[in-house]
Amino acid sequence: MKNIFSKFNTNWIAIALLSGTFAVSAVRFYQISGGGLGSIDDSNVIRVVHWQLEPGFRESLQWAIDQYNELPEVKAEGIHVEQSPISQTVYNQFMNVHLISGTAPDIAVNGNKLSEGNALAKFYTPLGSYTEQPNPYNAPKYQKPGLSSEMSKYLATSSWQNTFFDGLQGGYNNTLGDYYGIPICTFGGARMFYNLAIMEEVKAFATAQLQLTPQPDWLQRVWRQSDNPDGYLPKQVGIDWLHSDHIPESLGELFLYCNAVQAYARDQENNYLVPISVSKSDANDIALAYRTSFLSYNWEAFSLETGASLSGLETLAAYDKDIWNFQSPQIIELFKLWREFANFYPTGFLGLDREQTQRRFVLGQAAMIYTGAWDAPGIFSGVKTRDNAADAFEIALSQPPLPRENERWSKYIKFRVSEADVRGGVPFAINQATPHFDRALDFLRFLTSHRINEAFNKRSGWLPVISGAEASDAMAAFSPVAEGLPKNISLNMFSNMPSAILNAWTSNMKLFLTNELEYAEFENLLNKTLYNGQIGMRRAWIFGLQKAVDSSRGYNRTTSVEHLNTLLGEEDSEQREVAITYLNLTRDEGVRIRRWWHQNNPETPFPEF
Amino acid sequence: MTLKTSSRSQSLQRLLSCSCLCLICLLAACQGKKDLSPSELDALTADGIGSLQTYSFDIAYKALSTAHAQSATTDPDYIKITYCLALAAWHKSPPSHDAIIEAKQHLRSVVEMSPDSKWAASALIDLGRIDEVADFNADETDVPSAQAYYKRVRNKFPNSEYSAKATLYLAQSMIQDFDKPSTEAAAQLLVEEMKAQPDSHWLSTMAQFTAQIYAFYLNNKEQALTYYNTAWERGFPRAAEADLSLWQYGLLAQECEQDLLAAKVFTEIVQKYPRSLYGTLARERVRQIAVKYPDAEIVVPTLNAVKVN
Repeated sequence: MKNIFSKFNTNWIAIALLSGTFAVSAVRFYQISGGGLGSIDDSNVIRVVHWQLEPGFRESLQWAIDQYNELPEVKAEGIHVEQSPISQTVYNQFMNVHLISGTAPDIAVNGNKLSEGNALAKFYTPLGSYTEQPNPYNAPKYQKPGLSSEMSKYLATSSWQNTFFDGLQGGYNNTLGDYYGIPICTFGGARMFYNLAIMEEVKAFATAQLQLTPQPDWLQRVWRQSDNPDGYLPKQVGIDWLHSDHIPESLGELFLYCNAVQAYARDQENNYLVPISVSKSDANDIALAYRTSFLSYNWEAFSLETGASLSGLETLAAYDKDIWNFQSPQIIELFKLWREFANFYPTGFLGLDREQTQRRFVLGQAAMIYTGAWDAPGIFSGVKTRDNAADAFEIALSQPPLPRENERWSKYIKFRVSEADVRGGVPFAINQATPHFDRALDFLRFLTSHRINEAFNKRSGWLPVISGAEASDAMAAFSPVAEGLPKNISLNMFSNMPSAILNAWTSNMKLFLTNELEYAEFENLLNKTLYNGQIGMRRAWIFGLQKAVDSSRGYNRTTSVEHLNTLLGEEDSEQREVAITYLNLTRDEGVRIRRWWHQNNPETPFPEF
Repeated sequence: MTLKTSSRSQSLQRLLSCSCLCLICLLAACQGKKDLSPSELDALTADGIGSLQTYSFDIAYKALSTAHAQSATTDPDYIKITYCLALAAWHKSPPSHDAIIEAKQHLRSVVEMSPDSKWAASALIDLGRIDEVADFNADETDVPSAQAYYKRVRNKFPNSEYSAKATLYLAQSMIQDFDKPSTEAAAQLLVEEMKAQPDSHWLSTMAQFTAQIYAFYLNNKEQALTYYNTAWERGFPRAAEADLSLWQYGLLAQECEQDLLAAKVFTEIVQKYPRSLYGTLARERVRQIAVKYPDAEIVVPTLNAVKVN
């Protein structure tokens, strides 16, 4: 017996499992291919694919789909709309394969890497010519009762495009100069969520600690006074806040609260409770809400082209000319603020995903979470439906607070980042290969009609995208706030950079945030990369030029096509040709980048490999 | 899983359509010219042009190659087909020396066969672009040749939209080396074209491009303001980024110490573009200017709320 087992190769188990899985898949494929699992004629199905797996979205979309499928004309045609939600982690691969093979679904959220640039036009239908007409589903007979006559008339007579709150900018492609997507909701701005039950307990705890003599270390560290310049806020302001029932209304109060939560968790020997629930996603990192304030401190000096968005190359050029460096007070203070926040994040936060982060807050193991409207319905419903009703808690929402005068960092943070350019989200595009274009378009009109879009978004708990559509009360807090700095005037070392610089920044930043690297070492490591002749700044210029040249080839193709359209007499193409030609003129063959180099290094030829 | 079944029917349709196209192409290739009926030829041409319009250059190239081979030079659509085939050859993937040569041959034949037509004017500009721009990494450019094509368009089609476009590209080709006399000549060329064609739909493009040349290539920001103003009045070429253009215009005005002009421009951003990211900074600038010039009685604009419903 022993001999038999010793000769048995365990790899056979794996082979048997693989074979079994293959056999099951083959049978399922055969069944489905044969139409054995469905009663609807497959050729009449319009498939809608998206990656929004947040709670409520699929159910709400299904409600809208059911409403559409029930329309008499849709039933008469035998058309049936179906949705197929796909995980974001495989969405790009799924769409790329199906777009290339010509088997992509009829309607899909665009935005995967393959369909960037003018490849978008290769796979999806331009919708500009359809957006000029009113949406037939905004006609009075489809409107919800009780609309004002003014709104009713506006919806019925306005072009489809003008019924979107952003004029359909969320579906517009700047390079191609046309609409390639129809957004169905709005994300709005990111907000801080506060667990008010924890806040009450923590404030009671902290108020009691105030009475101790001497005050505990954590409180002494918080007060900003002459012998403690790194304190966050004046003592009396902090005491007043602790005695109030307000959420933090200044950055100093927020840091006081974070410290108090940490002290409370220690006191309660609760190893799970953290001040802020954070994941590896930038969208959860509250520190980033303040980054632009620090990094835009001298944007006019960094800029090589007055008024244009600040690019990574301009950031590097300014660094090379010592216009900024890691000893600039603004940079040092940003890193200090970043690490201060990171001290209040859960251990190992750089390995946590969105769901884990959300769950921690819902389970009452975090006093705060910073996230966008897309997570709000999941959080609200999660809290409401806790197993034990007594564990449910009230939530308050606010923008990240700004420091008041006399608080730490008040010298550096004057504004938040502007949310004025927020656009419609989840842009559905119509596959060029769909045999049901008219119906697919009709479905998108239906979904973005005032009545349906309002109801759909109320059900899903998201913000609507159509003018005049009411949002649920809970979502009003996510309405974008225009006041703030443009994010594109900030020093930028974190996007559109060669991988070596990007890695040096991101990986060392992670080590810094987790206290595994000191600031001086961070600076040293980054300098090593930046001044490396092979992978550093020199390469960034080559990389930047190559990208610009590649883009200009794309612009060339677009210019050719739009000019052809003009020659063939197509309406509107003339203006699109003008718009794209202007890009060609100002960026052709990377001329702008070569000019920047020439401006900074008039005697040195542009670097080459 | 259900996607696969729909995919199958779509694949089948696509397969059938491609097969038909291939069959037509194959028959045409085997049997020599003029074997397609006029309606088949029309369908093939329409397919090719349709593919071109949707950036499917490879598919367009196949269809238009066959249509071109099947058309007589006397066919009314011959020039159009030849021009479209040239575009398809130019932009198909992967770009290659042979494809570029072929594109140029077709463009030249358009110019020869219909020298006064819009197709010829377009072909000459395209020939210039092909010479001026590297279409693949090893592609060598020939800027003097490109400039000769642009000049030819200006001479052959003066005071036309083609002349305006050729002037823009000619000026662009003259500033690439950052040589000051050449850059000044480029700006002058644009100024003259604007004077010659004040009603051209390229006017705002010429004006803003001239402003860019003065501001960033010749460091003459005062002069840039004149042309920025023209572009503003006529509507910026990239209307979707009008607030960005205004922001740049306002900053340049401030650099030239024309604060009152800057205040006017920044106010326009705040009032007309509530969705502009620059609203807050623009308002702050107006506020500072208002303090600096109390007699000007500048009204600081209010930032409008962004309405999502």
